[in-house]
Amino acid sequence: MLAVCAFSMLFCDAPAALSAERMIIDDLGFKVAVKSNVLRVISLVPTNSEMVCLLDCARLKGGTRYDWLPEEKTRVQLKRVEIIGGGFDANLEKIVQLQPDLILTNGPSQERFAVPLKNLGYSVLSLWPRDMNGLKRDFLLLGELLGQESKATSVIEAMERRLRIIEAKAKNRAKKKVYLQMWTEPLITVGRLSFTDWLVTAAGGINVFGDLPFDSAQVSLESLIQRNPEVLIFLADQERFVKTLGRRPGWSSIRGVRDSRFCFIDERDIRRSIEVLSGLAKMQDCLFGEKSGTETTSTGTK
Amino acid sequence: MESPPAIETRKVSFGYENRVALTNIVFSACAGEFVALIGPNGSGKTTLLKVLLGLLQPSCGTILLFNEPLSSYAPKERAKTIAYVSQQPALSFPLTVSELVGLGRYPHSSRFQPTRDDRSVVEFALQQANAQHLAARSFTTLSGGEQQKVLIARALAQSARVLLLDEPTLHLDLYYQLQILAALKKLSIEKQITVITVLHDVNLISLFADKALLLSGGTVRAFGPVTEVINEANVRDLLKVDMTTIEDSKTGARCFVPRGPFSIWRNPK
Amino acid sequence: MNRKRQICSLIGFLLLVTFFLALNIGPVRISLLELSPTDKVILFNLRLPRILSAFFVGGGLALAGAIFQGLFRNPIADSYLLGVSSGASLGAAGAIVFRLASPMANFAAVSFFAFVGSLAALALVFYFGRLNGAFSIFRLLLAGLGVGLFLSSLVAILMLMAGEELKALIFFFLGGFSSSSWDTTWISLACIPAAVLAACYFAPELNVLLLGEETAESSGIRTGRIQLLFAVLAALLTSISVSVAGLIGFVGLIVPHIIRLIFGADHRTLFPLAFFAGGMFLVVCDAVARIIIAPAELPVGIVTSLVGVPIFLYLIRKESGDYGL
Repeated sequence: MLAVCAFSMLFCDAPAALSAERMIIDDLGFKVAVKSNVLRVISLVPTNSEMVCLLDCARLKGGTRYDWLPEEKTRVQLKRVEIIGGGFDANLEKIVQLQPDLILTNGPSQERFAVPLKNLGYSVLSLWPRDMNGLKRDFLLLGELLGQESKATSVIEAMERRLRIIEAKAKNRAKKKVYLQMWTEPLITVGRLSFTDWLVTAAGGINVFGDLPFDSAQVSLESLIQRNPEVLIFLADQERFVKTLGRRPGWSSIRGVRDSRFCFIDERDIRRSIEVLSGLAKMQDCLFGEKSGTETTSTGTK
Repeated sequence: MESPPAIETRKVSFGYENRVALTNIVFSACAGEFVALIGPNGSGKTTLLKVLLGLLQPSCGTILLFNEPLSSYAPKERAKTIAYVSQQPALSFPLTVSELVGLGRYPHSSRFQPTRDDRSVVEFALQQANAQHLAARSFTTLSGGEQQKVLIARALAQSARVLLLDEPTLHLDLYYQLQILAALKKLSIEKQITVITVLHDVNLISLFADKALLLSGGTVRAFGPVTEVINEANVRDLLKVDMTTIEDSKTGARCFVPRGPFSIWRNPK
Repeated sequence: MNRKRQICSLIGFLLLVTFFLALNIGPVRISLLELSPTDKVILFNLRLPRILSAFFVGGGLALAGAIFQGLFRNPIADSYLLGVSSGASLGAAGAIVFRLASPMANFAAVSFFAFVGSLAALALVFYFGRLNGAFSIFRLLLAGLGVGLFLSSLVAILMLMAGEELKALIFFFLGGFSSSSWDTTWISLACIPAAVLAACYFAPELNVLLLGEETAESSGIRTGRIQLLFAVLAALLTSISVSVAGLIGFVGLIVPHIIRLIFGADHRTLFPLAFFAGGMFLVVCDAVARIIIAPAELPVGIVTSLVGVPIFLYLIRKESGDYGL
């Protein structure tokens, strides 16, 4: 066995020793050494890919197949962004082939890939924001690492301005009772611990199931009817379900259904991504605006 | 018989947690004797066999195997001396007959390579049990009688001097019953192997056995030569069945016919 | 004997061919003549440990299945009896949900706690499987069922709590070698061959045990100890496999049967043949899994079933006469 390990050492060409580097403590608490000149970045989750692309898309060499990268920015560069996984899996061979300077992961679910990559000598940084402050912090850090501090700062400032507008709007109106449906059969909604619940509150609504101490939870139609939401928010792929709402027994007794106050959002809109404010704005429009029963798609940040 | 007994029990008792199964068993069998164990269901016959084998530990008393206490034998030594044919197992996997009989060599053989000696013992055992024509067959494809012969061959391959069998004639037609018992009898005479077997059929016992042990409620009711011990009175006590004895004038063999309410339909008069 | 030498050289040859082919297969094209530095890293730090992992896990699972089938004298026993899979799942789920860290820097927490979980489940099963200080093999089976079901429900509760980490758990359950490296492989390299040797050494005892505990005992075997030894060996093989590669079905159940159908039920040949067959089979399936929809990977359990079941069904039709079916 020792022979095997020695044998592998012979052939293990780990990346050369880093000259200038900084030590960063990532969102999982690990100390990571990142070199000062980061040119090639690989991201294992869509939210991180979007952050990199926003700062300097050319440096993104590997992303996931679910990345939502603005077309104007990547149409020419799309070929250069190799697909290395789907968010929860990653292809180690392809990652090594792309010779990254920095690999971005998310939560503990990528640990089984992070560990072998770290052991091969790569800088693996976990950016895992749990809330808006975390988002800002991570984006500014990434801006520093990529040498795009000014761009990062301006994006953050724009975000904060937009957030203030949204919060102001929410404060001025009476809170609406909201039901957000993640899954149709069984009925799955979000609870107190979820980021989506925070979005609902920030938009000016009250999650009718916000008292549940879970991230997501299965609920019964009975309890939904009892809590009688004014607005119902569905994920975009539930269109067919919503079309048949009228035929489903019990639903018509809900206020929001009677008034046809429902709208659709994308899963992208409720992710902890740098573009989350568009999703938040959409949700707010849904709560207070006249747009009901229409499907809207996400656009780039502006 | 002047030679020391092959197997001997001295006041052996055995009990499970909540009930006593055997009390004060005293008997012995010499080399080359054919002993039949008979008794009603639940009388402790299988338990006695297991105690004699060393599978169960008696709560008191000792068992001597060729004058040494059974407990002093190491497991493999014991296996070389005393072999057991239990009631038929359901074999889920396709072993061939020679493989199965070869398992009987376990106490003797090296772990992986069967020696020439092993192979000849296996062949001989198959011959003794009248099963040599089945050697290449898969055990699961055999009939009940053929399987029983193979299991006996396996026990014979153990080259033990004492053979214990638990109802070896169960589920067999008369031909196979006689064939198997005749083979065992031949072994006991020619090889001086002590055979102790549980049998229900009184006629088979009087045909083949030298001695009989009558067991009821965990105690010995009678033990001795078959001619003395198997009689109408004992059978009535033990099995609650009335029998008429008929002697074949030509051979001198005795046979027993059940009498009483059971046979009234044959003699309506 | 001549036949033995033939079979041994055939196995050696097949091994070499399988390994060589598998080394060449992968989402990144590598030419063995021109190796760039990254190619070297890929080949020796990713692909080689992955192939070895697949081999030992496949072999370990097949051997564990063969052991359990012989131990319980039941053809539908597979390597995941005795609650091992539920214990491993619980350990993995706990590690993910509670963000536990492994004390061993190199070994991913999920794998480490999956192993711990499976050992804990095993301890529970053996605790409940005792009767008057002795082990009854069927009591162990029932205890395994009960403990397994209970732990599975705990896993379900954790999955409810897990929220977005839920999907990572699913990938653990699907099983695979996509995150293999030397750090996860050295444990199988160290432990599995030892277990295989132990199982092969005691194979004659398990042969006799096929006839029943009474017959085995009367042949001079200490049945309690042998059964305990085999149960522990099989469970350990499975624990290591599950903690390294998640849950991979089919191999432990079907590979031993395929070997039995061709070579017979004698454990002295069944054990080593099942080990090599299971190992090579999983190496092949893993190679297919990582190439067929590259760069995405198919869960290897899907490939094992799709490839293995037709072979098995074909053999059943052909050989059913001798099997006594």
